[in-house]
Amino acid sequence: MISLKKNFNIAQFQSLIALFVLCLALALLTDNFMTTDNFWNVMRQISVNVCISVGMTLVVLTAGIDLSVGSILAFCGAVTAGLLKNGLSIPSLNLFIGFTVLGAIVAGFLIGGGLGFVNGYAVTKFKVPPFVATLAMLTMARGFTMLWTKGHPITGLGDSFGFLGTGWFLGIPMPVWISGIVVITAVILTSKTRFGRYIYAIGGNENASRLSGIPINKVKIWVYSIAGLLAAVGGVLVTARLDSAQPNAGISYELDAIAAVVIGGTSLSGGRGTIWGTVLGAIIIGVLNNGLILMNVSPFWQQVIKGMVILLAVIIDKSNQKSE
Amino acid sequence: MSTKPTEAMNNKAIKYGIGVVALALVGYNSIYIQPLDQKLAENQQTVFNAKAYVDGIWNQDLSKAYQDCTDISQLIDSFNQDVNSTFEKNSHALGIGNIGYFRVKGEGIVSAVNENNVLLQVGSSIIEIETEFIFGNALRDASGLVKINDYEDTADFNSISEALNDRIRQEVIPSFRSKVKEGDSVKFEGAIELNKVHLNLDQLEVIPFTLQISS
Repeated sequence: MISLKKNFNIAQFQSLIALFVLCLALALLTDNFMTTDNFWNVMRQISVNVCISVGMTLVVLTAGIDLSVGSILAFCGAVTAGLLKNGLSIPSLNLFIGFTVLGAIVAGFLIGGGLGFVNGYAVTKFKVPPFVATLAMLTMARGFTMLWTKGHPITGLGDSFGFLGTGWFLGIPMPVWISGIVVITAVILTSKTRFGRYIYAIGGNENASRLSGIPINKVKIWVYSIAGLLAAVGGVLVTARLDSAQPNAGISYELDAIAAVVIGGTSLSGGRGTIWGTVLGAIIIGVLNNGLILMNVSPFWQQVIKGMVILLAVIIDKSNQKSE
Repeated sequence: MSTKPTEAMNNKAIKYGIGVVALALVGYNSIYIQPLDQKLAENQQTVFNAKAYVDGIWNQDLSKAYQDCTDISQLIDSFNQDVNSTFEKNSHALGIGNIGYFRVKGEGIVSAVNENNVLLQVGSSIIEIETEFIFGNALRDASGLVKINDYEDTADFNSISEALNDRIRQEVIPSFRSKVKEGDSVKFEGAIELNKVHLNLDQLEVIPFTLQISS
């Protein structure tokens, strides 16, 4: 019993220990890692991944997966930028609808939530495996992005919108504030609400949850919608940071999000994991990326190393499950 | 006992009321509506018109710039002596990269009329005058007249190249293509793009600004 308890405690803190070791190694190996500028640089860079990883965590906790977040991010960023810059013209009614920054962002969020809802609906009502449903959405959303942007970036979005991606408030970059709000909301949602308990219950044992009267389909649709919404938040952050909506934004972001979730200790079979773990996972990936760049490691080797870290995290997770 | 359902209903009404007010506030601050024709008229006043800009500089500044350009044979000789100083003296560039744009002029004998270009024998060199693929920023950047920092929106800056290339495609190329034949003597002014690191002088590709058949 004592040994089991010890294992459990170590497993709980393994991401934190990994991050500490990583930071220590980078501080010794590079000159610029332990500087304030680099700290905020890393935090700004991981903000987008934190947002989409939080959504991914909720999906993975229900034993699902969402491969479409990168494409949804691109589409929502493009919609927000397009509406902000060009508005909507309806020639048949001789009507022009202009969008303020708030309006364009709300529209982007609604599109993200809507596409997430379609994912959830396909998974629950048509029993399409999450992998397939969201893979289809990945392709569709990328196509929508190309159609909306005609393959060209949308640029020149204005200072007030750009502030969301590049501005500072009380000495902290805006993307960090936004991702922080997302994280705290998700932590409250998963740990203090009935909805959060339902998510864990469904991922732990779906049949038992159904028999207990949990509205599984409703919860899953909400979870996929939230994942879509958070991808849209990421899309707005990316677009604001670059002052440009790129049609090829967000490619392979879903893999970084899954990596953050897995490294953070969330079980891919569902029912186990925390938002804080995912945040740590995202920070580890961000620090790893930053450290490899500071050490002038080739981008090709960076991919290999990131893949190995993810594999190692899954192996450790599996061995923890066995010991539990 | 009878007050509980009423209380619940009141709470629900308050919740819905707050929701509707919040939605109305968000909606009010999110969009504005105006007649499309009025918006289009406003846009015409504020949107950068690249075609009008090109029309404005075509006869004066641009023509003057392209008349004042380096003879292509001299440029090739200069490259053979010192690449770096030739780039420094003669090229225009947007940034700090290896690409430079040069205004050139010359006269040569048509050695071939191909589907996409016309080849000229200029001294001992073969020069390729582009007649089909008039793309890129060579004409704009070689002119040295247009600076990127003058434009807040890079799309506006890029649209100048599009307008310039369009005008060349529509006004310069058709009359030249319809008359040119092998053996003709052709005078040209135009722009070339060269990479300092991978310099290839074998068959320079000229985007023409003027083309004149002299026999």
